[in-house]
Amino acid sequence: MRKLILILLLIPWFVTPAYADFPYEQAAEEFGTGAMEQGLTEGERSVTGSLQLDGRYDVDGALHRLVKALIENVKSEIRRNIRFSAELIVLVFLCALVVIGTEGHKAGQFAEICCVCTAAGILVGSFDSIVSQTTEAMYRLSDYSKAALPVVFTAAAASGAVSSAGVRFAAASFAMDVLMSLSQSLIIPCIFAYLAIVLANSLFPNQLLAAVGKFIKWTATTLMTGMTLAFTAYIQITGLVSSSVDAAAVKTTRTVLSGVLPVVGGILSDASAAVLSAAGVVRSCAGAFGLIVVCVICVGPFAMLSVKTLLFKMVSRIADSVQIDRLSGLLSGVGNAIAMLLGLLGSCGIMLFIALTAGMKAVSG
Amino acid sequence: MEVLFRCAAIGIFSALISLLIKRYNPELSFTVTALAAVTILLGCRVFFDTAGDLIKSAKSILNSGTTLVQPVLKCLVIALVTKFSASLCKDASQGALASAVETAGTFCAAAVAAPFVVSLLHTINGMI
Repeated sequence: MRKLILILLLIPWFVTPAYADFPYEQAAEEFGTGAMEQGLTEGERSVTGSLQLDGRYDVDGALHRLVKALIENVKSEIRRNIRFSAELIVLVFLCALVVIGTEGHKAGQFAEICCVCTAAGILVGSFDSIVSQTTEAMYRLSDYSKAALPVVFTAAAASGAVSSAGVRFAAASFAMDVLMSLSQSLIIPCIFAYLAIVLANSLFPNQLLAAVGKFIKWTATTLMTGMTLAFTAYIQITGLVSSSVDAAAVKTTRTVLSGVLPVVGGILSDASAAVLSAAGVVRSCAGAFGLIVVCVICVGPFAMLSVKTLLFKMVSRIADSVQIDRLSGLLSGVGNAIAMLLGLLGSCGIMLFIALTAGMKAVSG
Repeated sequence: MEVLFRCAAIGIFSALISLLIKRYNPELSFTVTALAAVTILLGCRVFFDTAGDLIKSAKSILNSGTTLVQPVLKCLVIALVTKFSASLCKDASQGALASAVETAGTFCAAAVAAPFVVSLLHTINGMI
């Protein structure tokens, strides 16, 4: 009796607390989420914030900082290009004065050709740097896709979407590689060819040159649009088919677990749900972080390309209003070429966006 | 405005005198016309300072100011001299001479613009 009382008195001293916890840290380590923050500059990290994997990632704050960064970039691009636009406008008015002064004489046309050649010299020099900045942004997106997509799709697979994650990851990786190859081998050369045709057409206006330029522009635009649409359609279709397979597989597995094992089956089934849930949270947080990073990488080049496109279109309208057709055609053509670069970068960003979103939305039941 | 009224007055008065003496002495009539035209052009020299300031402002804004402005001004001067000379030849009923002057003016302007065109063609070649 005394022994029993002693045991009952000592038992509370050996009780240790135990509580359930979601294995976020272990999941993050398994999925390699650290790779998503590597390669970002200090400025980019200040916009994205740090990746929180327990569902506390501040998406609203990151979006707010992103919008502020976009506005700051646009303002700085406008300030940087004020002198450039002033040069172009002075060129247009100088050309207009000379053309009016010569009153249709052929010498006036040669003065216009001199102005076109000077404008072309100014524009071509800056166009090379614009193309290199755009290409650099695309390479960064491609490199980031190689870091981010495996994390998001691994988490998606761990949260139960095994088939759809694998298929979508393969499609996304393949599409990014194809887009990068196409852009280097075909789309950017098309844009340069279009610019060359625009320059030649502004020197010697010709319907054939104008038609060839329109065709090249159509080809580049159709390639970019077609790739993006094909990728989106493929992701949607594969998602429809494989998501239902994954949902059925998860339900079946949990039912089997709880049914086959007599005592601990239910516990195992609930524990597996906790693991799947943790993987799902990591997937969502990592996916949201990846989307923000894609926007942050694109915000600088987007601001630069948008401001320059609008600038060239504006100066082209001014040249049109004083009836300097050669200069107007040249400036409008350069604006179109920059718009095509913007479209190319946008295609790359949108495809990565869709891939990350597909990973986040992989249905696991 | 005063300069314009003076130029208009000289032009109209000289045209009238030229018409009156043309029947008796066409050579003198042509000389009166040419001298009146030169006088009117010299009368506009007060505007050259304003044009000069405009060109200096344009040069200061454009990075390639001197490289561009000189050929454009040359083309402008070529056009004005060609137009003026061809008109005088036409007034003297010398259409062939007028055409020859206009053609010479076109070739001069082409020669001024040629280096720019060659440079741009090299740029286009580099792109392709």
